[in-house]
Amino acid sequence: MDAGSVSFLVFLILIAFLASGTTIFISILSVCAISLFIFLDFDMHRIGVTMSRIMMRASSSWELSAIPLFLWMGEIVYKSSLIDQLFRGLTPFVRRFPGGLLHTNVVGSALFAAVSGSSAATTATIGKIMLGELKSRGYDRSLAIGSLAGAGTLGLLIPPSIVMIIYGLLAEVSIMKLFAAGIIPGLLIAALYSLYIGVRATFDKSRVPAVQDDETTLWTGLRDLCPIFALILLVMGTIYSGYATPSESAAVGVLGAIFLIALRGELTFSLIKESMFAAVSTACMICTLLAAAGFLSTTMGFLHIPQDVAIFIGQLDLSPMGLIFTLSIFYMLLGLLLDGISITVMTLPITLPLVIAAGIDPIWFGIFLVIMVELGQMTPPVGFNLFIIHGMSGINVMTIAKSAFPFFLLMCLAVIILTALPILALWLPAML
Amino acid sequence: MTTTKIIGRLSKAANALAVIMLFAMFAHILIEIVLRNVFETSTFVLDEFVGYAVASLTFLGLGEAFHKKTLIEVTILKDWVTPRKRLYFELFSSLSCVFIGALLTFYIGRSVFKNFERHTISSSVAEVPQFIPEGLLLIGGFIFLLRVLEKLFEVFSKLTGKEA
Repeated sequence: MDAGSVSFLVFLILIAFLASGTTIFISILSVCAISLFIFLDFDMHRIGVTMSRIMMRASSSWELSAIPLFLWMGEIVYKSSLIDQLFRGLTPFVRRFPGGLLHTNVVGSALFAAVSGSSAATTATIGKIMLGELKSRGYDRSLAIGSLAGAGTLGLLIPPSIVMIIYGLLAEVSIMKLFAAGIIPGLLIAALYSLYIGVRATFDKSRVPAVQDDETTLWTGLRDLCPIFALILLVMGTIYSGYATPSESAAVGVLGAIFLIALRGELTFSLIKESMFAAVSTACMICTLLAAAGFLSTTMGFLHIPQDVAIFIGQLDLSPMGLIFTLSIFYMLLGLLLDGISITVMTLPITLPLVIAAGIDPIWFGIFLVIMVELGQMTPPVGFNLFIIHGMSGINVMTIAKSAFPFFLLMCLAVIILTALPILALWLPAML
Repeated sequence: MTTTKIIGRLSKAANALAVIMLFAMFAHILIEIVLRNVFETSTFVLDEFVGYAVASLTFLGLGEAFHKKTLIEVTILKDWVTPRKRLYFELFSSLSCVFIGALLTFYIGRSVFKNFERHTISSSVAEVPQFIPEGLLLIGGFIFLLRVLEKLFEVFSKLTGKEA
């Protein structure tokens, strides 16, 4: 059976499992087991050994520790009065803009992305903080969850980013230059999101409640934002000063959050206990998904699906623009099924030589790849940001995907802008 | 004490252990940062131990996460069908969970047994017997299996009973 037919059948089996309402990580593992059994004649013993080893190895990754720790930090902030203060602080800055507090999703994600390095942690933390608040204040649900699904992906693009580190290692490109290259495109996407929210709010005022004037000023707002900025500065400071790695800085962030609530007299055993149980629960959901994605990647590798598709693209002998367009489609299709790290690891050995042979800058391609991966985070059936928001809000995954679609298109627009103006990604690295 | 209560208590205990793992990870990282930056030394096992803690946390919390429906699922089709038909969907889901849960638990258990028999240790200075961290994953996997079996019996009894 050719790769195209196998890919199609695997996709159909996955859709069937997901549609049945089976837990996502069990669906992924079941599809892998069935695919290996049917297409490669693996026996149950071989499937069981491979699955258990990959699940154990993937969940033992040290880099994963950033997820439960950043979630814990988010839970502490969420369960304390810091969250109200964050909203009070952002209000005077964003209330004059059309869309009001919806911009806090974008600004909050961009700020948190600068400390987390993970799209999952950014979406989960900002979602925990913002979704309930926006709902209680009467904001349009569709815009709130759509902007969160889109802005949450900024965790991959705004440094530090785990996917960028992996790309840098595989492509032998300077990680510091990659980090610098991600800043302007990240801000561009955030600006596009905010612009879209503003335009939607201007033309359809029913989506956003009228912001009432109160006594808060930019100065009081800045004062209210101080604790959160201090937390971000603490986390960023420990990374860029070399005191801690990005994963270790998550623990520093937790300590900082505990210190902040202690200063406010809110530190109680029950708050810490509840925040830890909540963080474990969400982390368990994310880590099992990532571990299952590891097995899915291996299965895809056994079936030669990404490699065969990449070789097929190579045989088309395309121009640089044609190659980028084809790769965009290829990565979008992979993004339907795989997580970002898996996509990067599995396809790069084949796509990178094609890209370099076409004369495309590998740093630019790294940023392009990360944005492609971000797109995959918000497309069903396997879109991690959609799942995370679903897990937190209980809203149907397809409803979330529909809400996220305009933000998906905006990110596609960002790719077009970045392709037309590669300097946006290459200017900062050239300054280093 | 009924079987359901026993499973519930085991699941909660494992979840509490997962929380302890989170705290252990947090404490170890802070100690490492202080040791490295103040005393110019290290625990030398941070990557390894934090890796064990993340994996243990993931597996030990799995049973309770499943029970509390934190593990995400796509309900698009289930929401559209009658309660009776929904039970068939749940039966299929539960059987899939039992199959994967049993497969994972059996092969993790096999690995734990092999590592125990062969006295396999980690390659770090800590020389951790590998059956210990893997044993925690086995406990988590086993409790997850109990939880999904509990769910399977619940669905099955609803299908065969009058309440459906």
